[in-house]
Amino acid sequence: MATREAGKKMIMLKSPDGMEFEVEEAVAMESQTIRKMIEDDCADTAILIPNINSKILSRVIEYCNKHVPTTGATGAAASDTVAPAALAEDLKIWDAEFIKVNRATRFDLIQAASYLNIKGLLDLTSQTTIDTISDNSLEEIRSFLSTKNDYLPEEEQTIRRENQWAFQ
Amino acid sequence: MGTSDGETEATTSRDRDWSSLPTDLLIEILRRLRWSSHPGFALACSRWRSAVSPFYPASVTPLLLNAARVGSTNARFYSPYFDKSFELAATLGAPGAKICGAAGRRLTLALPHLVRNVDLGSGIAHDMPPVDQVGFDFVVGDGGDGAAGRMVGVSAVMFLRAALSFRNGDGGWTDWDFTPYEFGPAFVPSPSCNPVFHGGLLYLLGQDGRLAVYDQRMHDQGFEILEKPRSFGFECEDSYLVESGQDELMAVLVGLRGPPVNVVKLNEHTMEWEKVESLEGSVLFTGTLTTTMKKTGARWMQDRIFLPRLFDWPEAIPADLVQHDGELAFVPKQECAWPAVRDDTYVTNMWSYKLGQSGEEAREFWETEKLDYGVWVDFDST
Repeated sequence: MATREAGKKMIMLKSPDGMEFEVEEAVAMESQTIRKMIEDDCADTAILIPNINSKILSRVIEYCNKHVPTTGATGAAASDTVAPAALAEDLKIWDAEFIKVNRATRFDLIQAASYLNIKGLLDLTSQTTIDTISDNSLEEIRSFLSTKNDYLPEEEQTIRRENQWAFQ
Repeated sequence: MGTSDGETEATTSRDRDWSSLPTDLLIEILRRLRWSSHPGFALACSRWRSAVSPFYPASVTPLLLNAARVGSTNARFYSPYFDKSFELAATLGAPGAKICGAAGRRLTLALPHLVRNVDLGSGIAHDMPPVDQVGFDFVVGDGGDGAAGRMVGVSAVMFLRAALSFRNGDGGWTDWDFTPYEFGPAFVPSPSCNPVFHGGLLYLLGQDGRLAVYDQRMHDQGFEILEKPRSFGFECEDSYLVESGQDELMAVLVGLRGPPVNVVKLNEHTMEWEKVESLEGSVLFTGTLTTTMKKTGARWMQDRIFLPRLFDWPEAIPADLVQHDGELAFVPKQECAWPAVRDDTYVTNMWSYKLGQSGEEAREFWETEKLDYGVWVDFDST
């Protein structure tokens, strides 16, 4: 907490596969989970991020780097000088490119966003998932989710009848 | 940037089972899914089903909005499809107001010298410019967004007079523009039925089956009482005007004790009312200032005419009206079971009449309770 004014304090993030990433504290604090660790002084040297491999962690850091509110030399946030609408539009385009990943990577990113509590990334990954599959057929949904049908035929029939309004 | 690679995708996504995600995260993802897609997901596997609490979609059929005292009693929505009444924690926020009608999800309320439009989905209210004169007998909007939006206030008791207001560019409304006073031949409007927009004109139904028409392009001429039609050709106690799904003008004619109910449509060549034998799979919701006609996939509802009368008072379920991706649903505040199964012979507690059914089969109004101060609203955006 004491060195917050410096603005450039670096934090070391470690993935379980042994990779280390040095990032600005402000970038790491895009994650509410890491922010809490830092604020609670649980992050003296390096923070081990469990369950998130280096490939995914590097993507998450890439996302946070882009989305951290940048601070100029005068201390004024960049968003005060650049038109906020243009900035938001730029971020939207960047997000759309960023999330062009395969399903497995998106699955890992959702889990990472959830564990690290990064609201913007969770929004982006969840929304993209919903957009991809909401118009699909049942079989396509099952195949996308790699989920097995665990219903008995009678159970499936009951759900269909309870929700007849949706299947009419 | 990672790109989608067919081969990698096939081999790496196989071991990632989305149903293994923690429930919190499933809820977070499914919160974005439109309500009508939820049952499809629920069918995918039981984990996904368990992540969603039971809900009642608001757009399956129109709902009867009912507030015994607007402003002091909570708004209730009765769904004839689910035979449930959903009670929101909020009132309509306008004490003493009178419900004037509804276009889709937009409700029109009249307060002394003021007309208010409320979007029932968002709760956002807009007040129209003040009215100097005594309030209108009818107020209708065409429900259009943006520049096309218009409202017409109609005074009909002493003399026929219309007042027009447009939505202007900044989201407000232009001052009411009244037609001149006009002491023409007597015209007795059907008392509990709003005028209806049809082909750009506004039609006001007379008790005897005649029609008065207001054309905003000839605003200064006010209402014109048409030479024909001269009568419905049927005896009735109450009559309600509606534009059908096929852009025809229809009237629903209800007897003193209910049956028989007749539906007539206007033949615009002969300008006579003609009997309608079948609603062709549609259903009519009438008996309030606003009447609406919808296609329905629920077979037991087809060709039926619903009136705001109930045989049994349904339980009121405290609920929130929740929007997901543009669609609205009632989510009960307390834990509850999934909606009961509806089959094709299901008939609800609300009084209805199947068009063409014989007199002996039809139930009369006896033992029904009329829901006063209600109006049909429709959350279906399509």
